[in-house]
Amino acid sequence: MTDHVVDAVRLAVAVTLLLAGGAKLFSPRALARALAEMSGRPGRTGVFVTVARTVAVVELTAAVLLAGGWFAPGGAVLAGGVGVGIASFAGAGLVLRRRPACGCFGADSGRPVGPANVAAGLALAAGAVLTGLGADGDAGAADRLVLAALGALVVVLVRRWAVLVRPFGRHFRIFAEAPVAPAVTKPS
Amino acid sequence: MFEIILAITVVALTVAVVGLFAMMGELASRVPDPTPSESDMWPQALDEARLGAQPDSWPGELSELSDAAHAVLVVLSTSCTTCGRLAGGVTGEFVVPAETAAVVVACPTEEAGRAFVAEHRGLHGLRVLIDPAGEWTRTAFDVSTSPSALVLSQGRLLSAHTVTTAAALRRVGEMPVDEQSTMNREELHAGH
Repeated sequence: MTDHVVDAVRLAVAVTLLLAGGAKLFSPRALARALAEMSGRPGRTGVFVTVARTVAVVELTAAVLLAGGWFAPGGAVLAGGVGVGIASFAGAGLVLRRRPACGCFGADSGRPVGPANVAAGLALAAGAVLTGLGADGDAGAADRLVLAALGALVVVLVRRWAVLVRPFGRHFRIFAEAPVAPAVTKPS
Repeated sequence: MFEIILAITVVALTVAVVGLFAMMGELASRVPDPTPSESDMWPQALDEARLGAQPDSWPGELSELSDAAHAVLVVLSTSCTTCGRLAGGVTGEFVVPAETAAVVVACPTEEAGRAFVAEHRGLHGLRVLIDPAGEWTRTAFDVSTSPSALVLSQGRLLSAHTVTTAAALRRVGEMPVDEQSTMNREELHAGH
């Protein structure tokens, strides 16, 4: 029973890290902007793009190590570090009253950092500790890696479904819809 | 061994797909939608605003709004993509919709606010209040949404709207003030 719980948590942590790392690797500017604002140097994102990509590589490495189980303690340390980093970053934003958009999952994660990010970071760190304790060698590594990858694919496709179907709705619509102009809104 | 290589390949392809969607998201945030919906062209009521509110104190930049018969306060934020598009003229020329008008730029730091103003030419020459963390706007009117337009009379909040295009902002200025005043007076009396 405990093994199943550890496996489920490991899968969840690996999927989360795959999504965050994959998004930031290709779209690092949102996090770079957030880091620049937090450091009091808004607009100077150059060096922080490299930092964001480094974080992405760390997240992807942690995901592969955790899901594969080859060096799960190392993966847990990396994932825990990412979790603590997220919590610290968001906590610093709350203390300093600077709330840039997080950029944790690329440009899409545009909400200002807040208590939810602190909680998410701590949850990730706790999950990493749990999966590190339950390291079990590389038996079934390939299966777990594929499962984590498929999990990440399902999540990203569900989240971005609207983007996928939008062109079909716009360009291949069969019935034209008459636009209805709403009245100027008045306070109610 | 073959299984491991296959699994690593699947993970790499997954990362590529996730990255592709992330890049699409970044692209969408930079490129304006060529066909804004009809509702984008009209102001939408902002329910969170405290209608009838009158700030206890006015920053120097906004002092002229405190006693104007009709004034409009446009609220923008540095962390809001739509605000950048609006102020940058992407949706049409940014014109404040009243003779007495001002812009509030909510920002994490004053430096970020000043950089936002410098970056967007539509804001040059206007009365602009840099509002760290949106503190003044939130305290004065309970407004923490941007971009939005607040219609004021004698410093009192008559109506509040979200606006996502220059056309919607212009329409806020075209709304009959007397009608709003009457309506809000009735609301205020009813509320008391």
